[in-house]
Amino acid sequence: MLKRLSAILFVFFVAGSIPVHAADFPTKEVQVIIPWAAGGATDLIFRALGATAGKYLNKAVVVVNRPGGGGAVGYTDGMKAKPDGYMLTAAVTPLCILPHQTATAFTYKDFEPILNVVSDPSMLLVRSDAPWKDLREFVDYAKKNPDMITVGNSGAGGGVHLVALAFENAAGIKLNHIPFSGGGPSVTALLGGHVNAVSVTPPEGIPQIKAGQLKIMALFADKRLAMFPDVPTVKDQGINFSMGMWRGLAAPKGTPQDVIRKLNESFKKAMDDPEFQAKAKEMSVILSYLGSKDFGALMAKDDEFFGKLIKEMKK
Amino acid sequence: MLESLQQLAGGFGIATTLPNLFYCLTGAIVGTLIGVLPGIGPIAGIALLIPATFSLNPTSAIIMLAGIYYGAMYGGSTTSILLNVPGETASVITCIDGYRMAQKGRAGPALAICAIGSFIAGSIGLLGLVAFAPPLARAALAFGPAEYFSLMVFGFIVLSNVTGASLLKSLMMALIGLIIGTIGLDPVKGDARFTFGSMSLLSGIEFVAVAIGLFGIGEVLSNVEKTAVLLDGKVLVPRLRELFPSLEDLRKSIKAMLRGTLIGFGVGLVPGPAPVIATYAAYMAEKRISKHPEEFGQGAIEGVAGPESANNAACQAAFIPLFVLGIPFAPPTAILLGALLIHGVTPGPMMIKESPELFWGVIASMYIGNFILLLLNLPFVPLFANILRIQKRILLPLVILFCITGMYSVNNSVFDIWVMLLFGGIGFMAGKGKFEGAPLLLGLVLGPRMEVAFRQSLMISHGDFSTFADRPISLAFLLATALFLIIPIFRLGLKRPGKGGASKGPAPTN
Amino acid sequence: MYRNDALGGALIFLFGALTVYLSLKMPLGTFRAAGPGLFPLCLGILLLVLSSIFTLATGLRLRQDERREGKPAEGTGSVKPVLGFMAVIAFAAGFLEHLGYAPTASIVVMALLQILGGSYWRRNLVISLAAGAVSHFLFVRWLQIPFPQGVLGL
Repeated sequence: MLKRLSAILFVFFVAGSIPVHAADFPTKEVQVIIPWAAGGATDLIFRALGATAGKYLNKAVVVVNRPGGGGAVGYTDGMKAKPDGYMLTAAVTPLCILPHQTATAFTYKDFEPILNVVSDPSMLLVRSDAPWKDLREFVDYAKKNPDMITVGNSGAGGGVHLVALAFENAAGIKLNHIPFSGGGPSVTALLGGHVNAVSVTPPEGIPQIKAGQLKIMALFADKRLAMFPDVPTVKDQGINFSMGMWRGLAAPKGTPQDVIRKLNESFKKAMDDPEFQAKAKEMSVILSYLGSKDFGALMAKDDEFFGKLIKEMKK
Repeated sequence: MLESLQQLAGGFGIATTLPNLFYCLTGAIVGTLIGVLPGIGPIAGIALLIPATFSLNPTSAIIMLAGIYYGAMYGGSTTSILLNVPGETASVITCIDGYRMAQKGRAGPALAICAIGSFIAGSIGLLGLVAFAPPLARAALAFGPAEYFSLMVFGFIVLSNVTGASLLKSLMMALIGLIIGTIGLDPVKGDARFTFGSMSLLSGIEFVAVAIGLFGIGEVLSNVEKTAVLLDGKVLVPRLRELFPSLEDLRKSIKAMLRGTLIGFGVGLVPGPAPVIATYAAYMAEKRISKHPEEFGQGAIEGVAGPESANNAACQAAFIPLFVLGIPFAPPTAILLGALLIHGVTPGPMMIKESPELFWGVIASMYIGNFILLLLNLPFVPLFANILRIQKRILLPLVILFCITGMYSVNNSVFDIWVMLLFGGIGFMAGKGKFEGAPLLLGLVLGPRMEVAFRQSLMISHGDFSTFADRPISLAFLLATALFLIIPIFRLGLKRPGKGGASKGPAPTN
Repeated sequence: MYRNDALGGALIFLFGALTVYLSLKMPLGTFRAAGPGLFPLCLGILLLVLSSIFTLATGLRLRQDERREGKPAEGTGSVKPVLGFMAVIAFAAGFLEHLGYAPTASIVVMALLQILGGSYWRRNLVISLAAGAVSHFLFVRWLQIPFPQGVLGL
């Protein structure tokens, strides 16, 4: 009995271990590394997109969370993955921020861009009962009282913190930045009146704006939000500044171009799929497709921008 | 209120259709299995299964997710009781008396009390959620950085001596936890601290790794140390004396459950590690109130009932800020928020107004998830309790495999297995000197939040310390902390003349 | 008992000293804008104070009690299997990503079973292969936890 059982188990192991080789990509599931914990905006978007993209790739897309070091752990793993198209990484703005902050093993150049999926504008939110009616009053007040307006952000050195710093420079004001551990806590602190404003990206704060508890003081986008067409951008109000967060997909450097093309096509189709479109709308994210070349150019541009900004900040 | 009840009834109507009950049951079973695996808690469980719900309609999907959520929470305490392996952060305290009960052959009652306590806390919690959500949410907003810091100090000082061995020892262990908590990226400035150039240390030390190491691995190692004795043919298995709690057990537990629910519900409104604080607080409260405090740590059933109920009530209360403010206060609710968003439900101030049927449907399905789990878990009790019949020399290797598997799956990182191993060694050594792991874990949970709150407060007040005293809630916590520290010193001073008053507390026994 | 306490207290003191030393190497800043080293420094100093009180107190008691207590009873166990267990966990941490989940699981269980009682190697082999197979199906196939695949693709 024991012998037979061990024989069966042996067969199981050997049979399971024969590697499969095929010319057509993909022959097995495609994994996507999310360098953050489950449940964040990036995680949700790629879980939804992956579920739809599976249809077009004919293989499942599996999300793997590798949180740590503000994203550094996941990007290091993603960079080191075999460049065969089976291990992709969610390329999000911090990919161009982290290498300037600490000594990381990777930069955006270690990745092959596939496509950009989402571009969220950054916003500065205040409570609806705030004393400032519009951006000009806010800026005037900040000029007269430097360092007095407290602005919450979702983490020191994170995207929205840097955006707030860049806005300071563009508007010629000085704010008091208070870091929180995530967008949720910072919005809570604003609702409770413990800070005067917060710097966020959608979907954070959207339900509270819809409920009339918060309002958008500054919208750092090139065009207005479809959801709130009455809210002007800061460009409309004479401050030349726009900055958003992008979330796309990248493969390790050296991935064959035809694999990249195949991935790009499949994920593009998934983006256009009504099923995913509906989910994206529910999550209040703004879809913005960029092909691999344009996405690469966007990364290069933002990498330079954040590099300069962080150098200034560290002085 | 009357209208709410009507709508709630409508919600139940939707949730109790046959297919929906089936989804709830499926979710509950999967959730329980995931919860039993140490490490993977509600967060990872829901995340793993969100894609599986995509094809369902929103109501069914949410019902299934509610099943997974509650299932994972129920499952967390199972390994605490059976193997001394805390399945998730909130079941650390359950190890203390739950594992002792199992060692005495009372695993069955301990597991059953967990299920019953969770159900009672869940039911009362939902009632509280329906009745008082808006005012409670507003109260939760009163907690800014200064209040938060003072609360953390209060929790740190008062709760660190949870097992009551020696205040000095406990405070030292808790301080070590705080220091370990500072490893990683500075939460305010973003500099790397104590990382020695390691990329994995940047994200800090994973709580679950320390918990499973100190408790689970530490316990296995001290068992292994005795193998020479164990293999001499003595009885290795704790006999299962009874599978279900006696009336006496229930009588003892019911009050503990109610108290635990109250504590958990209150603490659950505070953002951050509420379930952990709630379980520590409930345990301490039970021990203080009990006429037989010496039974605690030796398998007191109240020490299981109170914290388990508190944990569930805290998780229930965490829904209040989610539904009223649209903000998740804790990671499990954050992931549930994500799941709801994907299915087109946007929790928040507009939800009750805009789509009441969905809101009440969610509430009702949560309740049904809770109920199905009770039905599901009671039959599981004998099954799980019988695991202890496996010979130790076979069980211990499987426990190790179980811990390694669960540990890896938390962050998909082998680094956490190393951390678990290190703290397993420390737990083994510390156990010899009766240095407790529980305070260290408390410090580890509170540390980063305490530091952030402290620095945020001073940044907002431009370095003025009076901000902690100017705010009434903050001041109240600080005064209470001071009182807690002064009273024992005062008492000690009175007792000095009499002999041997220095070391109090029950004599530690094995 | 007190001997263990004194030893533990001394170790904790060293840990505190290390914390203070490493914190001082980081920028401290001011309370208005605290640097990364400030909070750990405060904790380290606090730990130094508490552990010195503790160690001194137990040291004093240790002296008093030594005459009465006699030799402390040593544990009846042996350290060898403990070290063996730790070595196996270390093996798992080191090789999981190379070997893949199911083989590592089987090897770990096999090695641990051998440590605890070596004479039943055939039974142990079956248990360990079964443990690997069952957990592979449960966690990798069914729950889809992304474990590393290793050289065998398992």
